[in-house]
Amino acid sequence: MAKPATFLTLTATVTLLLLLLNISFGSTYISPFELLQLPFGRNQDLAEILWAFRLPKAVTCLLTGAALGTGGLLMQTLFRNPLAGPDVLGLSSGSSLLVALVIMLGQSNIAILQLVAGSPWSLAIAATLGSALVFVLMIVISRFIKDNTSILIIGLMLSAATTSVVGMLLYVSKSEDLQLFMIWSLGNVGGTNWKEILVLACVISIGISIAISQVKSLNARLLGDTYAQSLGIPLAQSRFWLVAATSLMVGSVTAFCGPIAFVGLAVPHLVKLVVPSSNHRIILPLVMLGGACLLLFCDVLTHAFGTTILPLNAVTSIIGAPLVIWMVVKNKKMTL
Amino acid sequence: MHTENLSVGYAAGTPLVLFEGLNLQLSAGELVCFMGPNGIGKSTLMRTLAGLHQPIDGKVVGVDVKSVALVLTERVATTNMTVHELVGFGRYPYLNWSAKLSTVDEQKVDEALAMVHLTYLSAKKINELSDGQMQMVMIARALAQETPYLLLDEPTAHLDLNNRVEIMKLLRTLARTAGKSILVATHELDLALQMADVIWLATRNKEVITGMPEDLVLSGAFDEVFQLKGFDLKTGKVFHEPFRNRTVKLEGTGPVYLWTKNALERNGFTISDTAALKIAVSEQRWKLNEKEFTTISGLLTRLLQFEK
Repeated sequence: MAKPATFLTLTATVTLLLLLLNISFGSTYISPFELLQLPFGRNQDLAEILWAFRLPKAVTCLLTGAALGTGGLLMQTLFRNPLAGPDVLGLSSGSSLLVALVIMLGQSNIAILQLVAGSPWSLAIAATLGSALVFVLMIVISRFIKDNTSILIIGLMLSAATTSVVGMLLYVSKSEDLQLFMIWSLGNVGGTNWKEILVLACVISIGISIAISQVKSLNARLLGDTYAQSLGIPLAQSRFWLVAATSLMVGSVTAFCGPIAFVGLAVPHLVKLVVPSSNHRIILPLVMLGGACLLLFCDVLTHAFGTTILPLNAVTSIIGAPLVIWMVVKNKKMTL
Repeated sequence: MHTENLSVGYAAGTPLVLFEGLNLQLSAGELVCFMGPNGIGKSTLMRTLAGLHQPIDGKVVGVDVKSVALVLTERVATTNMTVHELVGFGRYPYLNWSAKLSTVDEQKVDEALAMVHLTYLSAKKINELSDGQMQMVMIARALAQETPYLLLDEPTAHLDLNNRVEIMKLLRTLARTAGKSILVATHELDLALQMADVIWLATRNKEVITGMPEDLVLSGAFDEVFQLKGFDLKTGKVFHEPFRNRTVKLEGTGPVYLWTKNALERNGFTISDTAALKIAVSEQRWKLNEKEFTTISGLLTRLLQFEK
């Protein structure tokens, strides 16, 4: 096996290339050569497009992909279940519920609610709270139920229940609210401005920092709870931080980009398929870069069909599902 | 390490007391086998001794998280992990948050693997190991933790006899040469009797009887706890029913004598020095009424013909 550092350099290079590719693709194609000439040229229009649209979108992909990949890895290790992921456990559904509520409140006649719901932070806070609530609920349940499969089933049921509440809310809402929510729920990395990206970057940095600080406990958890405990890992405390990190990251991503499916589940598996290791010191940075790569690539694909821009979630699932199926068939069983 | 009036069990929900008022002691260089019927609470007591489970009453004196290493029954299911990495987990109590093993740590891992004679497996993936190898690696992991106390929960379960003996012998050696204090929960009555310095015997009265294995055998403590069904502790063998009501005299020495006796007793004969029917055994020769046999099976066929 090649050294982990080699893989890291390789993945970083691929990420950079995809970043360039991502910036090139859009409603008008800008060739990478033009991009490189830009700092020296006087093409004001191009610079404008780049600064206002292409760069924010690419940076959002980068941040969001890293956050979702990391979140998926944390969940899979915490629950010791290869099928765990933010969306499977109902986190995104929780976010959806609160976001739907906030979108509806924004259209209400009550001034104070309009004020609260109208602020640029409200969606982010609502989505973060939504996913945090669901996750805390899952953690409480997981304290009483040790069986991973049961927890997963409960997560799915929770997700179904929340989705149905969202459905009821949407049923009674006005059509413009409905459309707003539909667009949000299909996922979109192109709608963020630099101010929002700054918020996203801050929250995700905190989440990733926490994740990195938990590397030791993540590794020890691979041996099972009792072994981890006997190695001096404060289980409850570390579980709290893992919950907090995942909720922050998935919550903020869901807030600004909508519930992006599949990346969180697929990326850790894809990374482990390429680099057969379970050491989080190696896997964690690779998962961040891998998540960024996958999302940058999927976003390029949404622009690949001329003027029609495909919804991001459709592409992530279409890319993600065959990849995961192929892996399962190839490996016979998924690994943690 | 010792306990003072330790009560073990679960306080949450409906309180469940497994052991009461225990005053136990573990000393350096001693191999202690912890025996008792299934479900009596051996694992819980071990977790309590390791400080991972809160006692109901009393206390465990002389341990902290850095002084006890465990080998548990749960199997590590993770793939994509090498033997070296798994043993490296033993160094975790000494590492900071970044979990990076120093050169010294790497050296300790190699030493631990050398102690169980598995250096050659260092780079192998743990899902490619046999059950016996895996158990030895888990012991190496515990050794890498460099603790004075080693607690093992049924380390020989699911292993074949050869592996069982190998592991018990290894623990025996570790206690003597490395001065470790080792507590093994086990169901291997015969191995425990031959290898342990001290036996802890969990009874149904929520107490633990301790003593030298030989003393506990002779005092009948084992018979009381296990209510042995057909295993004769005084001879260390399975008890055979002498259903043929026939006594034979067996003359000879060594393994040939012992195995002939075993075959005769299994087939319902009673061995007695005063019997009229005489069998003389020597190297690969059995003599009955001046007739010689070259196998025990031949001898037995003849004997059974007499019975008819």
